[in-house]
Amino acid sequence: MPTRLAIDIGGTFTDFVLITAAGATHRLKRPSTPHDFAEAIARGLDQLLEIAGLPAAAVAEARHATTVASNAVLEGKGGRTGLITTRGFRDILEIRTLRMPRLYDLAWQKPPVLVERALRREVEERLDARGAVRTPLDEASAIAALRALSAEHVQAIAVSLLHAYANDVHERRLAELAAIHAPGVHVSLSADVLPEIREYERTSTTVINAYLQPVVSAYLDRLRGMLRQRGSMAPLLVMQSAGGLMSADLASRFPASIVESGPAAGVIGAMALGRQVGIHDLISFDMGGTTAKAALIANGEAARTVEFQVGGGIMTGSRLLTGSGYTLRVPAIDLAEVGAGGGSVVWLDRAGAPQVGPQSAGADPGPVCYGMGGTEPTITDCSLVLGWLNPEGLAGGTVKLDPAAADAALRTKVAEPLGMAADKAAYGAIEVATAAMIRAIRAVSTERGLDSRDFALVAFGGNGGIFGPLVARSLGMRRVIVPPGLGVFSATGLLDGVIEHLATKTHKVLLTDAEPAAVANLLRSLAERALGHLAEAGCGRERVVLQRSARLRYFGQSFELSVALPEDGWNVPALAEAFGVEHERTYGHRAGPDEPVELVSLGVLGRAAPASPAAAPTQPAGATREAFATRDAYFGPAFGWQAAKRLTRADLSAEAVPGPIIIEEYDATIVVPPGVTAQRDAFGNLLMDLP
Amino acid sequence: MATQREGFALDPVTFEVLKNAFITTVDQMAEQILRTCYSFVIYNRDFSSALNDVNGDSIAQGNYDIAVHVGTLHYTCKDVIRYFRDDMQPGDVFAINDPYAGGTHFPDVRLIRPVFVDGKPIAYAQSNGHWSDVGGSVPGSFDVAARDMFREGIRITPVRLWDKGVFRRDVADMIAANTRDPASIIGDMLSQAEATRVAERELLRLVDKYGKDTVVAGFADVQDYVERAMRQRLAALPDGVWETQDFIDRDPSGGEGMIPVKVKMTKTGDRVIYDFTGSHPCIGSLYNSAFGSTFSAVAAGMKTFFPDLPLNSGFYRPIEVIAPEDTVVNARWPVAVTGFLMPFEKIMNSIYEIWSGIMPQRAIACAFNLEYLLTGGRDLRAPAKPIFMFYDWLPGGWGGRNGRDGCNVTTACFGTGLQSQPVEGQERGSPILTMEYQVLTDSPGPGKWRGGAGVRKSSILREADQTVISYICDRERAVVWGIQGGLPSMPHGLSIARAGSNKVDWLGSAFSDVPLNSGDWFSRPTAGGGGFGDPLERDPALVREDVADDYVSLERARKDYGVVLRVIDKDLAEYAVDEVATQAERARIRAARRGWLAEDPEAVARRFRAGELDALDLVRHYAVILDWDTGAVLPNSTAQFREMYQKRAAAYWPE
Repeated sequence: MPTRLAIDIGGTFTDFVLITAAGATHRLKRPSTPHDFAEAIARGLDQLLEIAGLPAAAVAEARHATTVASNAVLEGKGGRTGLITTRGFRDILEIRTLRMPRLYDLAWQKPPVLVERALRREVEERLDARGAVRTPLDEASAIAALRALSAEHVQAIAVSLLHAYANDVHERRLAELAAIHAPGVHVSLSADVLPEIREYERTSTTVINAYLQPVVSAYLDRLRGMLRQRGSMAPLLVMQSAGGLMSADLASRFPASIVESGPAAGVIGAMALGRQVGIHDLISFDMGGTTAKAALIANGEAARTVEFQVGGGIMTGSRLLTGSGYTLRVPAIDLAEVGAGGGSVVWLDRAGAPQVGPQSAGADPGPVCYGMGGTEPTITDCSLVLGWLNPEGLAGGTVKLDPAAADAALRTKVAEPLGMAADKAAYGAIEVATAAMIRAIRAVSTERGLDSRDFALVAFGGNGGIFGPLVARSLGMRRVIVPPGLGVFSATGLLDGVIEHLATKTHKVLLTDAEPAAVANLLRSLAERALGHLAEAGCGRERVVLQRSARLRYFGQSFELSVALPEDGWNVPALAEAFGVEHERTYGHRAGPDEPVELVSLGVLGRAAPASPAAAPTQPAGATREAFATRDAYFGPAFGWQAAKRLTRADLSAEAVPGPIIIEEYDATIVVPPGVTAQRDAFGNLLMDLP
Repeated sequence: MATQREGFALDPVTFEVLKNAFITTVDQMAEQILRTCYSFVIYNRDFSSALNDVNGDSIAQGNYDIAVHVGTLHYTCKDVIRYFRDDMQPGDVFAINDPYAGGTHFPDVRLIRPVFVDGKPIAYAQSNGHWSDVGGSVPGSFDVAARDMFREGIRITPVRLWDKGVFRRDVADMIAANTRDPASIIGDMLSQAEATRVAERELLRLVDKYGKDTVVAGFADVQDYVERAMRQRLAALPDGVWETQDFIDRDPSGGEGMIPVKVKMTKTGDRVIYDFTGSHPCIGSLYNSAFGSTFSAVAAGMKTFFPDLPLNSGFYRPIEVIAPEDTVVNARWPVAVTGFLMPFEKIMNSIYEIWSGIMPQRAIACAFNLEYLLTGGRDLRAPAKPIFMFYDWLPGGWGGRNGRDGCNVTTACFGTGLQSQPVEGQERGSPILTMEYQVLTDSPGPGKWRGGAGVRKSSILREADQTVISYICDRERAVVWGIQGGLPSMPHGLSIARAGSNKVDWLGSAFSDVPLNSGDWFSRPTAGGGGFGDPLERDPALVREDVADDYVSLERARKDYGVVLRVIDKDLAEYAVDEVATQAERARIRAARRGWLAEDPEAVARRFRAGELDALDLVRHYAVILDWDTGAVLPNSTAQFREMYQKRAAAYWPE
């Protein structure tokens, strides 16, 4: 196995995992540098290579997950973007699909369009639904639009013309004209980003892609440059929202695919963990510095979605709850997310009730206790005041902590106005934060009719080891699994992913009318596209498995099902039958054999064969150590201050030890509360059992 | 285990799990429908789902269902129970669409499946979908000329569609044969029936896990919980009596004058009574509402002010509705009711207005009116499926709010939850080419907080034959109004230009079966929302932003807001407020505007016909309503409009 490197950037920390050819695992955690994320990566990489005693050239493959794309959308910090549309259609993104996220809520505001109205320019052209040109592209209007956008100093232009999924001729011409009349500007064509019918979804996805291009491509360029500079020629792979990996080149061109990159990596890791321990019904709970995310894994497979909203409060792929953010129609792992993490600010609302987040101190200035200029108390400050975190510092002392400053900020901003003792106020804030986390888990479980009590919780992220058991207790969940290296677990998950690319194209025709030759041609070109993209990621043809599929529906229906296509040619009766079977399996009924079936789109998924070997179990250590240090920690009014045992993971065995226990690891702290027991399994996972 | 709570059978944790499981169950029905339905009307969210208890009362309705069906699903379930009470078997599925038994209108067809445990029904799963056609005299089953239901479509009183699991093809075919698209209708039946089976499966899973008694206790607890919460909140508000009225444009079979819908709300302690006494008798069009829809309008309106409470029959218990029979809000068989949304939206907006006084922080002005365009004929592009039906509804603006502008381009207030169709899909399915679909400048009703913007959509009929167009809309005369000093927005209505001609004709907001030929152009706006508060108090900087964004024109910034802007660079959308000129203009308008409201409508109409004033001037400043096609004054409508304008706008302007 060659030496592989994984780097996962979060809002607060940048995590590194290096698995050497010899099988050694090295982990590193550094504060993120939001002003220039590459900075933390450069320093961390040097440090990690030094620890491992390897030159950069030894790294054969680098894998990356990043929040750069989602942060840009959430914070409105993408590139200044223009949009070119067919005349009469500049407001597609403002009109949306009418859906509102919260019915009956008169206070609701639509999220502002990513392209302001003055930067939406129209061109004279028109295609019909079959892709025939009704009005040729008026080049004068195209040049005028491009020049106007150029004069407005846009960094990116999205082009989304009506029916461009059926014929890309005008969009291609606009790209050529853009190279001349708006040189140096990133261009995203809807025919490239999402060649599918439905102008809102296609335009929205294309605009997000354009909006992200300047930010993401500059960032990935810097990252690659940095690796090259150190002598590594390793291909850089980036995780997509759906959990597969793609080349950095492709990610620069299609950044819309990597918006949920980091969260996806964590879920892929949780799936691999589930296979390892033989538990197939899991909820992954990833709590970092700024957000907490939950995803459901049933029967070993993570729930996925073909479309989701970014930037709309709780993020969920449910088709019922839409309209809250920006629509991205790209495959993704179905996640729910809440804006509460270790860096979330604790504050009092106008009625004097304590609130947590959504403002976050992030990495810079960070919590008060980091002493980097933060003045607002955060959840991490609360954890420190409660005695849960080591006052000497985190990450093996590399992050120094200032308990007195945390205590003072919490007293003046929260405890005193509430008339409470600092410990009780801090614990209250923890409870408020826990209630917020629960929303994310409910969104993927109980709100879908699944009882969270039937699932085990895989808790990770910098704060997962603290909040995992609190959340589990509130939801009546009985088991919490805390993997080794939990603070860098998403980075570990990156190494569990495989390279993949899904190429799709709308091809609407009655199944019986489809020309076999046209279908074969289209499949061939989709396969070439997928293979080409995989080759860019350093993945030779011999490693690639291609899966062809067709999306079908009964003529007149509005939603389609995916059916696998066999290698050996186009067999309409067999395909119609396979569709009928799938319809019955999914929906409980199928129509008669005379009901016409419509082909909607074709797809080719290329996947590289998985490369990572399974970790071997190791014998659990011997009996639990008898002598240990303690630290006083507060566990709420019911338990008060107690002397918590300070143990290491290695101190635990298959024998259950009752809490309170505090385990300080390099990358995260784990707190086993009173009433909960902890043990260690053969893979080094910490298992907590709740009564 | 967690502790019991007084008055509830279940502990709080089990209660919470079941409450969410019930709601999730109906949401799963929705997912199922969405993926398998044939009628694109259903696909675009004109559907809803419910669980009903053994009495037919609603246990849960979908989180994301269209508002208009709330408050009617328990009536149709009760009617099915009434009819089949002692004659139900596992595997049965019943259908009903009867507006006179509590349904909404004929296209809304409900499929209802009893869920059996130990040989007895414990609940009913109900799936309601708007079918694209149920027969009647025009495609889509909305005939503006209908005066009774015989032109509207097939009335389905309770029938058994599945008998112990066996599909009754005879009954299904008879229903489908009375529609224009039998194959799709059968597809929708299968899809809806399967959705109710999803709910059955989920309920049985819950029964398996928690036991029948616990689940049935949960049915009652969730309703009691909502009732209790609702009553507590009502009790905390002041008692009183509030009255208002809104109008439907006209009675095609009567004389000139708008049709009043009168609403009197009496709140005493923990209950409210809505009394519609004084509302106009049934009119000679389809714009009448049967009782179920009127109750639904009240429930949906109330829900807007209690957005966090789940919807079930507990929500309805503190509400009483008095609606005199044979009025536009309580039509009986066989009066035409397919356009019930017209009285429905008037009721909803009246409730907004009333509650705006009780909860000022949630105050909101009138929203644009639902509009619905239907075209159908032969598609000459597609010999395989020559009949096309094109149904289209547009977003518009919602009313200005207390401290915030209204929402731009949003779904009609009856149908929060509705979704629009992609133009690309429409053009594939119908020989219609859309030339323009965008935000309409000057559509928002002016106010300190302006209404949201509406849109304009213009299309051309392509290769087609034997095509007719119908339009279901309102508020061409009862124009969307502002509150607390805010101004109206603009009249609704469709315009048409025949192939090869540049002459644009006004067809108005309600017509049926007008022939349409290849090459004809048709266009309609949707109104913005009404304004909130005096527009002369709007921050000029906000007006400048609206002009830069093209929501408001330079000219109307001056006329409606008294804000004078200097153009710095039109291409870069840069403007500056001329402070001095703005002050002078505002003073001028303040001094003159009460006088405009007293001007002779005939004199105003003459200036309109001479091109000196436009329709926005008339509705916003003179409160004069014309026949917009001929320019003739409508004296009764103008008098009614002026009366309400005085109460809603002028009364709030400083002396």
